[in-house]
Amino acid sequence: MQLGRHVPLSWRNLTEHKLRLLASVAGVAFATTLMFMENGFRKSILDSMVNVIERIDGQVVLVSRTLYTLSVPFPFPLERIVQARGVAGVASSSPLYTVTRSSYWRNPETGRDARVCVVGYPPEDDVLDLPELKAARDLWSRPNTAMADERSRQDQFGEFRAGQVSELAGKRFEVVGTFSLGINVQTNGNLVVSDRNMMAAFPELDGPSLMDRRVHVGVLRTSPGADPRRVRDAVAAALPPDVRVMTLDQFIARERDFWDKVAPIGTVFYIGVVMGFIVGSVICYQVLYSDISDRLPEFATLKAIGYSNAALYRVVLTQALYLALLGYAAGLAVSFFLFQWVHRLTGLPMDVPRNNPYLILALTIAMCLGSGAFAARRLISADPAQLFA
Amino acid sequence: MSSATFTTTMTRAVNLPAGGDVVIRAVGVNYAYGAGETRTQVLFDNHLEISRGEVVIMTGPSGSGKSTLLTLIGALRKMQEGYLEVLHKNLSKAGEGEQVDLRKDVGFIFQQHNLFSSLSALENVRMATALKPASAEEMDRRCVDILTKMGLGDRIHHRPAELSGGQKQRVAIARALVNQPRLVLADEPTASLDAKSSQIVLDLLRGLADGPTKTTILLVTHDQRVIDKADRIVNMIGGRIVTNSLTKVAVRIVRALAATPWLEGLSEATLSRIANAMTVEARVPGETIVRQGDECDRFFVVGSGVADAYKDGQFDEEKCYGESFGMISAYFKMPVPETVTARTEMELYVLTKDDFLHALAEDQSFETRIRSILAGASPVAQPSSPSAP
Repeated sequence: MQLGRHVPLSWRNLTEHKLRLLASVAGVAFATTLMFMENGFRKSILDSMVNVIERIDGQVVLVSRTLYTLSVPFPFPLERIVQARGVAGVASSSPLYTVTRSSYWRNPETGRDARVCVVGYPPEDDVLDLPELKAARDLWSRPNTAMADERSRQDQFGEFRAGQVSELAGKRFEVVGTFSLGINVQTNGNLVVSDRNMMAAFPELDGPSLMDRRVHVGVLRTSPGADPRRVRDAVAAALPPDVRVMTLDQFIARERDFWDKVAPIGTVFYIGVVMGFIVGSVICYQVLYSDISDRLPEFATLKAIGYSNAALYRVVLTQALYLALLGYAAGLAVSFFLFQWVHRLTGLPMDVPRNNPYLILALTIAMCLGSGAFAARRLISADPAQLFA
Repeated sequence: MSSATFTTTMTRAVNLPAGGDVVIRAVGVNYAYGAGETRTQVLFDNHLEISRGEVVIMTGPSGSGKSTLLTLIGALRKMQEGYLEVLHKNLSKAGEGEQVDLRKDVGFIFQQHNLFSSLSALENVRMATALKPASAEEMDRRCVDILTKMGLGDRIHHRPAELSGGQKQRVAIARALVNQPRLVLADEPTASLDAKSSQIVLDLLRGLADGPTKTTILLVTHDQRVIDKADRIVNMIGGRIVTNSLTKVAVRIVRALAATPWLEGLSEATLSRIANAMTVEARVPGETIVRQGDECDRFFVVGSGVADAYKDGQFDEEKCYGESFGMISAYFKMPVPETVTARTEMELYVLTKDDFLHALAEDQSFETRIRSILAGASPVAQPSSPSAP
């Protein structure tokens, strides 16, 4: 066995006792998994809260001036959308209606009503960029038909399938097809209907005239080559102040910000991540401190023969780094399984690659290195002179 | 401060430095633990000079300060008072970095082996070679060589748990010696070794001292087997060096004293005490050292060179290494029985009347014996009768 120039002391110390190694890695993996899960929940919730508007096929949107989140929709008159069509750079505009609080779908298997998010728009406008909806446009243009989100919770709605007939808001509706969108913490399922069916199911959205219909989002498509920001400014200047004009990106960011910072779902899960970091730091500190204490005479001997404190710090920090990498790998593997399980259980979009795995890696390394640096202070107390006592 | 600035007053025969190259020079070294009311001084005004290539044993009861002095010499503690120079580096005001640098030239052997249980014998020794880095092959070769010399050639890949106590200690000794240090400081290095292993280690230490590196060896030990290998024995009591004896010179003098009829039968301890009191003098060829019939107050042992003894003007005999002559006339009430003239350059160990009387006062049995001789209880015709050692 040929050694390299350096003896891998950190690795040997870490891996000497297999059971202790297993426990140490499990501890760090637990903290890593906790951070993954908390960050995953946060991100999935934020993603789920914008999953509808992220699929809007447009560049500029109109919303009510009083709207603070689409989950609590504030309407504005359809007339504004029509007015926007006259602004230079606007190629087309479409209304999008959404009802989240007063919309109930009756589960045909149990007969129980469950709240569902209903989104409506003119089918021919392809407002949502979902291929299933575009393909089945003719089907759900018919009266009393709806497309259903196959990722809706089955324990609430049963399994959505084409041909299924039940009631939406007390009116007979037929499911003519399914699409894949995903749920969020406010809704357990989604239906998409035509604007006509929307008015039929929720007449409160209708007005005395077509122009008075109560729209929740106006979707504007810009002309080819037009700058969405310039179009936004032009539309804002042209319309009365009862509507707010934003680019789609701004709208998505605003909606995420609301849930992240105002709600404050994001803050709660941030605290969860911090807790995971603290728990991991404590575990890592205990592991390294205990190991250093057990080997204090050996480290003192190294100091005696000429190793500097900095060199010994490097040994401990390298050991901490190995522990971080092993713990991260184990935590990542566990998180993959847990994410899939949570996704199956809740329908939330849990996906490891989209959940900043590099950020969690950086946090895990920082956690272990920080703990290692604290634990390594014990080395300073290793007095080589005591070896002659 | 230059080392040349210091001259110590070690005129005793057994105190002389063995060689010219002094590698440890301590002058007026004091040390105390604690401060204020809890201050406890453990070293008091210690002077010591040890030459390159000497094997020195430090003895003394527990708490006598030998470990503290050893840690100061090993740059494991900061000096407080006095002057200390080790390997030509002034440690009196050395900082942490200078101390660490010096320690790289020192081989430390502790009572406890302090081997990393996670590393093999080879890797433990390689931890030391990392301080004097070379290619991996070269470092491996040095480690395997020293381990093989220690009788561990077939154990180099074994971990400490797979080695006996003696084998572990030999690995620790190999770690201390692998870089061919200029100074070795050892605390009971053979305490946990069997006779065979001890012999191997002691031969190796002696070989280092006598070999081309002329390594200086300083050991704290009570092992009689080690004493046989020593050049000098330093005895400490109560924080002070009470004796500092060149063992070969001491043995030579004691043997000569033991062969002297009027000292016959005295214990080794008494003879050693007398030997410790003897000073050294040089004589040139042709110089008459004592004259027959004169009153004399000194007793001589030949350290080196040859002298001629005459009685009544006639050549009587040759005086050479280990033989004695002279007389304490005031005590024995008799003049010098022969004239002794240096034939070559000579080194003589000399016991003066005052030191003789001091030894007499310290040892009741000695005094009783002398008094009985003087009273005629035991026939002593020639107090200075020479005898080959």
